[in-house]
Formats: sequence, C-alpha cells, structure tokens
Amino acid sequence: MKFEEADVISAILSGDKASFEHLIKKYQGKVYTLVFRLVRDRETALDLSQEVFLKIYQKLSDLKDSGKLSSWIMQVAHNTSLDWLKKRKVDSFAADFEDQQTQQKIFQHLQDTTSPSPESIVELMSPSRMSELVSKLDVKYRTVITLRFIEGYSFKEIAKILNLPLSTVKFRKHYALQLIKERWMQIGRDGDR
Amino acid sequence: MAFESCQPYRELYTDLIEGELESPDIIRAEGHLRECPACRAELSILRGVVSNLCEIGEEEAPVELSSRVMASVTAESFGAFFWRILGAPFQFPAVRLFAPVAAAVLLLFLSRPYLPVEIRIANGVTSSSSDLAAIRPIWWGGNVYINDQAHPPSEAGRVTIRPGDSIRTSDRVELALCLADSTIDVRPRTSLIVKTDGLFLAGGKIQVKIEPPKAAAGHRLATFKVTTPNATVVHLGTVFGVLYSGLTTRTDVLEGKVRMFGNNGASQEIGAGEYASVDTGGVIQSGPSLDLPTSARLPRTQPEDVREINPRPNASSSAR
Repeated sequence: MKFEEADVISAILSGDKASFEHLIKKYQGKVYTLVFRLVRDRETALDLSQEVFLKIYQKLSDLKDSGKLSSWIMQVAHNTSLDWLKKRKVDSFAADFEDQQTQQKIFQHLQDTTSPSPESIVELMSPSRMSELVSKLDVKYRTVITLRFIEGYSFKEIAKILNLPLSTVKFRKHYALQLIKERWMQIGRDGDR
Repeated sequence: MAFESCQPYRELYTDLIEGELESPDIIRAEGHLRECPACRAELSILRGVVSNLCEIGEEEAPVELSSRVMASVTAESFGAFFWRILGAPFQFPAVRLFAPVAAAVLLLFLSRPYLPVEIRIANGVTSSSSDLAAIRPIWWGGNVYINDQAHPPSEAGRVTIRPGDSIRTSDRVELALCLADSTIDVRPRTSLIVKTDGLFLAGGKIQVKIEPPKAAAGHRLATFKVTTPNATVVHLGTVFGVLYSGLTTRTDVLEGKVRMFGNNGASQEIGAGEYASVDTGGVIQSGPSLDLPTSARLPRTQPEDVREINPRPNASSSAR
C-alpha cells in the first residue's frame, strides 16, 4: 500500500486512529533508532519514542507542508532526545578529536611498511565494533553518523532535521569519520603491543 | 611524503568515498593518491569504516511501542473529549457570568463531609460496604458485555454488576465503575472480572482514581487491588493506570502511590509520575512515566451520584 503523506495527515486530523497507527508503523524504526543512538539506553529510548509519537499526534495540525513529514518527525525525535540528555546531563562523551600530534603518529603508522596493511586493518572491522565506536562519539557527531549511514538520509535532509547549514553537516560527518578511523587505528596499535 | 603536504587531500577523502566531490577535486585527489601510499592506506581504511557503518542497520522498534502510543492517544482523546463537553456551555455569556457562583456552590457541596455508610470487616481489614458489592456501571460509545451478554449504552446505570461478574468493553466504549471513594475508568477492548476486593484485569487498560482518606474513615476501599495474571497492584491513596498486554503488566501513577507485586514475590512502590512493569518472569522495571497525560484524569466522583448508582447491598437491585 502506498503511503501518501497528505492523505494520512488529513485522515489523522479527522480522528482516524488507524491512520495514525499506520504512521507509527512506518516511522517507528527510524525514530527508535535515532533516539536509541542518542540516549544509549533501550528502555529510555522506548519511553522517549512514545513521547515523540504523542507529540506528533498533538502537533500534527501545525505541520503546514506534508512533504516535510519525514524530516519533521525526525526533528521531533532529535529534539526530544536532546532535551532528555540536557535534563539528565548524561552526555559524558565530549568531542575529543585527537590533537595534530596524534594524527601525525597515525599517519606515520600508515607509512610504516612494518605496520599491518590497510586490508588487514579493515578485515578486523565489523558493524558491531563500529557501532560501539559510534556510541562513544559526542552527541552531535553521533547524530550525523546515525542519520547518514545507519538511517540513510541525504545531507540535505539531515540539514533540515538538525536545522543546520549543509556545510556544517558535511563537516561533522567528515570529523566524525576521522574520529572513528582514528580510534580504530588506536585499537589496532594497542593490539599490536 | 610529509604529513603536512597530504593534509589538504585528506580532507577530501570522506566526500570522495560518498561521491560528493566535484570533478576538479576528484582529479586532484586521485592524482595525489597515485603518488602517496599513506593516503591510499587512509582511503582504504575510511572505505572500510563507511562500509561497516552502513551495515549497522536500523534498530527494530520494540513491539509494544505502537500499542503504548495508541493507549496514550486514546487517553488523550478521552481527556480532550471530556474537556470539550465540559467547556461547551461556557460559550454562552450567561453561563460565564454565573460560573463563579456555581463554582463556589459546588466547592461548598464538595467540601461537605461524606456521610457514613455501613462498615464491614473482611480478613481483618475495615472497609466500606460499598466495596464492589453492587455497582451500576455507566458507559457510552458502544456495547459493554457483562458475563458475555451485550448491553447497549441505553442500559448504562440500570444494570447491576456484582463480584464474580465478568466485564468486557467493545471498541470505542468508555465505561466508569463509580464507587464510594473511587472511579475506575475501563478503556476500550478491556476484559476484567469484579472481585470483592478489587478487579482482575485479564487484558486491556483501566485507570483508577481513589480519593484520599476523608475524616469519616470507612469510606476508603482499604483492600482495593488490581490483579493481572502476573502482578498485583495495591493502591495507597492514588490515581493510577494499569495496562495488561498479555505479557507484561504496566502501572503508571499520576497521583499518590501504589505498590506492585510480581508473581515471584518481588514488589516495588511506585510514586507519582513513575511507572513500573512486570514481565512474565516477574522481573520489575521502573522509570519516569510518560503515559496517562494529566488531561486524561478522571472527573471527581460526586457523593450524590455514588449513592444513586451504588445502592447498599440490601437495597433492591433488580434492574440486572
């Protein structure tokens, strides 16, 4: 069945609960994924996802452009998660991009012919280990990585969701990938010892 | 190759992997990569990172998410409906003019002490004679099934239910069981059995409002409790909701507190604004409640209404 946003919105606004349930089914995976990636706790993610959908139900009439439904839902999910993090002051992982000196060491490590080859480094990677590294990023990088690579949103859509300039989103993605790569290389180096 | 000379190119590689580079930059980056083994290694590792990130995939939302949201939405709609009905008369200027006087009269009326009713002793606990002994339920919206017999809304307030009776609500029905000091709101698609000391919730959701103790003791449902197949919820002067999904029992507390017991003996006190859930293994989880918005609170039970719909056990109750 094709999901026509405008039809579904007008049905929900006229009191059709089944249409709202249909909307929940369509977006619950994306909402729960983003919330869980941000708050890093399944029970909290469930509670907050419930809160997100309740807000969507209450404020759907405020949405003027049905074409923006998807990004609006994700915006509500993002803001709800950030509010929770702010209240709890739990986001303990500060942006800790390694300094220039550390980057240089990694670069030298890459040049060193006795170091493990890039192929062998990549071979050791796995989605679950990457997932762990993502969860240790600062929330603003975690958000971009989640929306881009885990949920598959375009940079333009992410910019809309986060209400940021496109260039900032791209910079955060670049920065976050460098961080993940750097941490992976550190794991590799520590493993060599 | 020096680190510094590679730096401008390194900034291009994440965009190169994603196909986000413009042609001149692609040519620059590829030209450098041909000459620099360290950058080729870097690009290869970044490709591995991106490819593994893309494989993480979305989380699967818990199955109860949708039902929890729909339960909240139903509660929200009930509250909105209630306030719409309540607010409708205020569009008339005469009503607005006399509203403060009416409110003052109502306040005086509500502040009257409750009249004492019969007291009985059950299992050593003093409680009101009205303890679910004979209730005339009121409802609207659809049929209510009492002992599997359908009753339309026109029979609301005329049928009587007693301990041992089973009640089932159809879609869109809102059913209220009004007692001396409490109102139990039974939500649509809910099944329960009335017991002498409370309710057995076989499935669905109820919201209970129990008035705080009054000067005339005896009016409280001292032993009132809600049981489900895997939990027991005992009120401690409260407004709370209980949802039994078939697997878990969840209690959300709006006011006061309740104690919830799992079937394995574990128990937890739940305060206002908190919830706790018990799964099939008796494990209790708790946290801040996001359910049952304040707009869904039940209207206060009127003492006069209670006397009318909740006659003493020896009064005639032939309208069954």
